[in-house]
Amino acid sequence: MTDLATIPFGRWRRLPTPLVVGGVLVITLLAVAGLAQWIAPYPYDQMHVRDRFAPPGLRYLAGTDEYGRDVFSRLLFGSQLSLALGVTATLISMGIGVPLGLIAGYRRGLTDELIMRTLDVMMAFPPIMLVLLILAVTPPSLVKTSVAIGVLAVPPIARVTRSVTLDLMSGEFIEAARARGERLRYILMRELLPNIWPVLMVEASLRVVFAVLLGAVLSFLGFGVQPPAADWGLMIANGRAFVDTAPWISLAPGLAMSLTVIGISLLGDGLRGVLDPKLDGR
Amino acid sequence: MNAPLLELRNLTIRYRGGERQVTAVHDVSFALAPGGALAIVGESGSGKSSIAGAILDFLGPAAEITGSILFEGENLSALTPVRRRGILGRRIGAVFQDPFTSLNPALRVGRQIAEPMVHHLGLPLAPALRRAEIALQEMGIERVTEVARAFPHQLSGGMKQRALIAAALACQPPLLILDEPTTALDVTVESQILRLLSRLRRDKGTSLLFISHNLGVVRRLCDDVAVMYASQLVEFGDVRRVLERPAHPYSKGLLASRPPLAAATRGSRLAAIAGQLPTSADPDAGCVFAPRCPFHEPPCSAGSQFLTVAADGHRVRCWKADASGHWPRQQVAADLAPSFRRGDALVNVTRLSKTFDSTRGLTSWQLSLSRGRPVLYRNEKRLAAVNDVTFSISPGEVLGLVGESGCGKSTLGRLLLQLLRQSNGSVEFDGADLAHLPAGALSPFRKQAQIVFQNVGSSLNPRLSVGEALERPLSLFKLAKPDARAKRVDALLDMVRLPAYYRKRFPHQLSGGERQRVAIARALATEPRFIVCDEPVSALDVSVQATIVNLLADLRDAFGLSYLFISHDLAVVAQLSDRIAVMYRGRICEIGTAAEVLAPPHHPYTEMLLASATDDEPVSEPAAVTAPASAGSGCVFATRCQHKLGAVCDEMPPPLKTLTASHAIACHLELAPGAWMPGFTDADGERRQSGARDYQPGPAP
Repeated sequence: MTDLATIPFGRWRRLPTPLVVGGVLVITLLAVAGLAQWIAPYPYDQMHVRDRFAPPGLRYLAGTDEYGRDVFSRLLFGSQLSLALGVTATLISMGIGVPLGLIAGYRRGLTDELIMRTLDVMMAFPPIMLVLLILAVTPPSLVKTSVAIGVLAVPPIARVTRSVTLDLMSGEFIEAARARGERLRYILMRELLPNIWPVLMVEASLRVVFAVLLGAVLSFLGFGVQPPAADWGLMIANGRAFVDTAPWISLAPGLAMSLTVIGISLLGDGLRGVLDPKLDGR
Repeated sequence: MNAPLLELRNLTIRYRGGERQVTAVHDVSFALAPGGALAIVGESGSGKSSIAGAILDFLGPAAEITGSILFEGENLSALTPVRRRGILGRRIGAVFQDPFTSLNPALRVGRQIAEPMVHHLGLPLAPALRRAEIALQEMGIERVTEVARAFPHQLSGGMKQRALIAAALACQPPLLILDEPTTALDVTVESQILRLLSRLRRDKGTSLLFISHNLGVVRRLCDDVAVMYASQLVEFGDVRRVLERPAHPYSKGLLASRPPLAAATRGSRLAAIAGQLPTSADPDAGCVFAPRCPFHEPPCSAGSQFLTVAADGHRVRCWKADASGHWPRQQVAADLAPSFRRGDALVNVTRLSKTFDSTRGLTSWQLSLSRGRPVLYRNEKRLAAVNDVTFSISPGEVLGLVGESGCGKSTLGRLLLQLLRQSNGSVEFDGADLAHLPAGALSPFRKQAQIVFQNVGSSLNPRLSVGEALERPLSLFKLAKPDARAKRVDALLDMVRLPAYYRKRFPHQLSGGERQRVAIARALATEPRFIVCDEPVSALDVSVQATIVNLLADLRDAFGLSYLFISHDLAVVAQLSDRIAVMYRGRICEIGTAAEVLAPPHHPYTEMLLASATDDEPVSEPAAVTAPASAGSGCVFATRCQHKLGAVCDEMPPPLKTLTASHAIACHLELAPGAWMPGFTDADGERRQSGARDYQPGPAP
């Protein structure tokens, strides 16, 4: 038995470490992305021809690249692109995947089969091939990259949503709602969705991470953001040639990406722990 | 007297959780003699399972155990983990509550019974498997080779529990610990398992430590009983002494709140224990039971209560145990006559059938090879869950529906509410045929017919507060203006006797009984005329069960509600119902007023249920418990029937014989009263019941 009076406060009083660490990282990232214009020491495309390959120092915090562009400033601006890509792609995949999973899990039967088998077909394609195909035949743009990556992540999101829905459907509160004659929309949105939310938080954070990584891969391969835009994947690709003489060109964006990935994952995990009332006190 | 096999000395178990510390077991001492059987009885949260956990060493690092557990003279808690593992399974066997999850679904049953013999006795696998089959045979299982080769999902609950007992006894341990081994089983299966256990005890001299909340079960099996309340041992003694003349007020309350197996009048209520188990009781600050005790006096709270030991070893933790009298019965309202009139049925069910058909959907198509060629075929599985059922419920009437799990009673309840659509037949509510209404036109019916579920863990949405859950029906059916809703919610909470501040609480902050009250309030919110109660009390403790049954009875009388009250427990059904229908494999085999069903003549299945509930006359049921329903058109109960006449039962559907205007039995037997049931002679409804010998609560004030 738990002491009832302490629960609402106890839950927030001691925040889990992953949440704090992840939160700090993600907030920093957001702040950096939002304030890039003002805090970046140089414009991302300004070339300092005399300072090519300058090592990290006071003048250039993370050194310069082969054109003498400030790597630190490019990092800051690059975070905007990475975040925009990750968040847009995830919103797209959640927007399509969650309703599909909910309906498949609630309706069962033929609806379920139709939705899930179609998604299975999508999953059968190697993700990178699919995105490359889309991007290779049309001129690249950030919006299109986001949509392509977002659609790719629909099957896993729908599957997670469906499995949690199936689990919840055995709960008698759903049957009680049906016995009241509730409409489908209410049951899905008010009875089911709030209970699926904690799981979706974790899934969404994973999806943002994947999207950021996949976006970087595409840029690296030259199908994503086009030069001279500052993108982490692109920066790593550019720096590849100079890794033995000027490792900072690739290392700095790589490090930034690692921190982003770790931060978002920790945040998602930590949020689930706090949001789920059933996990309380365990 | 021999040295005890198991002895607990001042056992205290505390759980550390963050800043808080919970005492689960407080200073408990008792001893179990070799060959003896001791029961620990108490409600959930009383600490009884923690004792088993401490003996079996699975409480984990959060538990702090002080005091000693002596087994065969050795202090278990002082042993090294390796030595302890050598004793567990080898010298102490254990069986747990849920046979459905206790077996590994991926291993064959025989292998799981052989496992402890391989591990502890060092037997090679082959002879261990042979011994496993012998062990299964000892458990009264026929076709042992088949069962041993089966996977757990192929066995019924009773079979699984037998297999688990066989596994626990594989190494012939002198002590068997059973933690609520029959709680998840049907009454008929429960009584078979109990008989098996008492036979094992007699034949093998195995000692039993039996943990249960069910006092009736304890009486059949054990010598001594320890009653626990809020982590303390409150009474200990001979089982007959404690059950017939309980000394501690809590024992009295617990016994009094058990419903008798007799038809009840409208005005009668069960004795109940007010309040609920304290979350963190401090035994030093006075008697832990004092806040709920009707015999409470100021000295009770003055200081800690001590166990007094009588000459016969009977121990009680109550200073005025000798002085206090009978547990008071709940205030009984004037004996109301049933307020319903016959003839104008509220619910009218005619030849209702529901067949579950797994031939729909893509998954029923299966691919297999036939003579080397692939064949796509349809796996046809049909299950008649409800088969040709006809009855009616008058306004204000309560119809009890009894039967074992899987008999279709829950399906029937859902058919009445149109949560499932029938395959055949019709359901009329208030004169309207629901079968021909489209789902969209059911709204007025939905308002008038509601449901209360069994599973208190999942019947409320964990994300909605109590207030939100109760407001939803009000807004859905526009029963109260937005500004009046809060007031209405308070009124609803008051109806189910919960304080108004519970509105802010979430389901996980409520106890089982409180959740069920909220679920009842939610059903009441639409101001229904008819409620399907689907096993509403079977997941609750005895004392909580009594308060919920009383609440349902009060609401029935206050609002003239009709219930379909579904339960596997005949005594609970009898307490609340005007009429009782007995269901077996989708068919109603007997229906009549509560008194008629409980008195002979019975349908053979009713007779079996009654005998299992009392266990006075051990029913020697044909061993084929899991026998499938006869495939033919005959009686569905024929394979288990003790009074089977012969081929006619297998081939002819039994005729529905009408005995009185309200009593009907579907059976081929001659139904002269008392014709085939020696012993069941009382005709006045007060049938010979085990409860009659037990403690009876005092007369109504």
